[in-house]
Amino acid sequence: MKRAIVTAALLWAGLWPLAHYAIVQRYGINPWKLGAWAMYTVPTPPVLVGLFRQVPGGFLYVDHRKLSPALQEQVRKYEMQRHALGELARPEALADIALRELELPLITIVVQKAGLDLASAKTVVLKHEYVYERGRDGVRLVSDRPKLAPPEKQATGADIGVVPDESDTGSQAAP
Amino acid sequence: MRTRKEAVIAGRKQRRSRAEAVAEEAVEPQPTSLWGIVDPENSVLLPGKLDSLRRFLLLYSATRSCLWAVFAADLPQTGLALTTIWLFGCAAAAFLGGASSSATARSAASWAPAAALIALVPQLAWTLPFTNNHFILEMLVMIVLAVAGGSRRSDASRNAHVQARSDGDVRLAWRGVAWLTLIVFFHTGLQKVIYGYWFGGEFLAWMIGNTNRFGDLFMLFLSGGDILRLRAYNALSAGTGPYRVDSALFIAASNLVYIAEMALPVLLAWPRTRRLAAIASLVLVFVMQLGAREYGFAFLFLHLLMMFLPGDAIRRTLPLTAAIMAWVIGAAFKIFPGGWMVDPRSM
Repeated sequence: MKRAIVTAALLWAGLWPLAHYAIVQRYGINPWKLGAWAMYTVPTPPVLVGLFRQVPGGFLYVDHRKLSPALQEQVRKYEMQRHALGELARPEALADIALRELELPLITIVVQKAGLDLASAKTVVLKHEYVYERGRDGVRLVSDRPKLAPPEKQATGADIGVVPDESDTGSQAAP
Repeated sequence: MRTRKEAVIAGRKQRRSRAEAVAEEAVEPQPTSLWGIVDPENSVLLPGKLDSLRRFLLLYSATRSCLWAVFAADLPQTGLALTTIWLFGCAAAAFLGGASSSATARSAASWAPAAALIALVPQLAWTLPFTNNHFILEMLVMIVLAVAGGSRRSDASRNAHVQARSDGDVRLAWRGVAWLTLIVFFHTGLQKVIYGYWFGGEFLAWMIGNTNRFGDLFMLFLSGGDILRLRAYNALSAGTGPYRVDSALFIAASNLVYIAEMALPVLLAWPRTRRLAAIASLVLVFVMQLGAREYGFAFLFLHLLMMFLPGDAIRRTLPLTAAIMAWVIGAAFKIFPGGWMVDPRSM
């Protein structure tokens, strides 16, 4: 029994990193996290999250600084979760609170993740756009769309084709 | 014709010799098996080395937990305070029990790692998915010590059969800790190869440009122009870069890191090269973690590597280790100076 437990610990330490790599590739989780000994393998800049309200002809960036402290805290928590878990962390809870607090029928949550492209050694910015609406039984996902940001654009609300009310990068997650 | 008394004595002798044979079998190294290749040439020191590791690890866990309690505002503060007290209790049991002649105190010391898991399991649950990898390593080593490192060998009151079982546990604990160290060490290098950001020095260039980590260490190989260029890039903007430099020395240093991380575990496993590999590994990890500023990982991993040195290196440095831990805690509470050096994120 003792030997079986020690062997299990060793197998976990040795084999989990291989499965972890597959999960990193599929869901974009942070290689540094979840015990796969892959710390210091890739740069992991902070994830930025922005909230957008629907207006005629497009979306309007909701200034992070104008959010309530509770909603700001929720954004911060989601940024950290997203930074660690990638696409496995979905923003339902954030959308729920944001729709209630901002009293909106529809909200767009944009998750922006920067990375380093190995071929060019230049930064790339990946965006994931989630649109939620308030349904009868809570929030409902309307659309879910990843896309690559064009190069030479700053990390603001402006570079996803929307009209920001102020230039802001949103809040930053801890690295 | 034998008397009843003579028959009892003969029976005891027979049982004892059988048990002694089991004990010898458990103690003898098995150099032909891969599992046993990590065994030291002299196994007499093993129980003492594992005792020292147990004391260090419990002290380390308690100190790390204390820092979390002070700095980690996102975690449950009451739970952290209680688990910290519990871990200090476990560390005290390991220190006092190991030195005691009382069988009860020694038993408490041997159960201390298992007791520590009662505190580490909720701490893991509170920190997931943000848990540092060195906490997971700490926990795995604690599990190995809890299930296999419970008995001391030099106990005259034991009979040979119990002694044999104890020796088997000691050997299992040693192999568990040794292989765990080698696997983790090898993977840190292998993962760098798999992700590919160290071949051209891209990862280090990015870190120098955007963080205060590794800069002090690897800037020696870069020109002033390269450093300024890397630091001018905005890591959150698409298309900035390239995070590449022309310095051959910088690229060679970057490649040497993962090569060493993959080669040294192999050399540590091999008995003939173990001593030299242990010294080289200690230097590599110390220098790299100084650059990365991961003092918690450095402290833990250096002690695991010290197990591969001949003699009981951890026991010899334990007073210094305890003094550093005491300073870290004092600095965190602003009792001692140098609090700026205590980075809670690195523990």
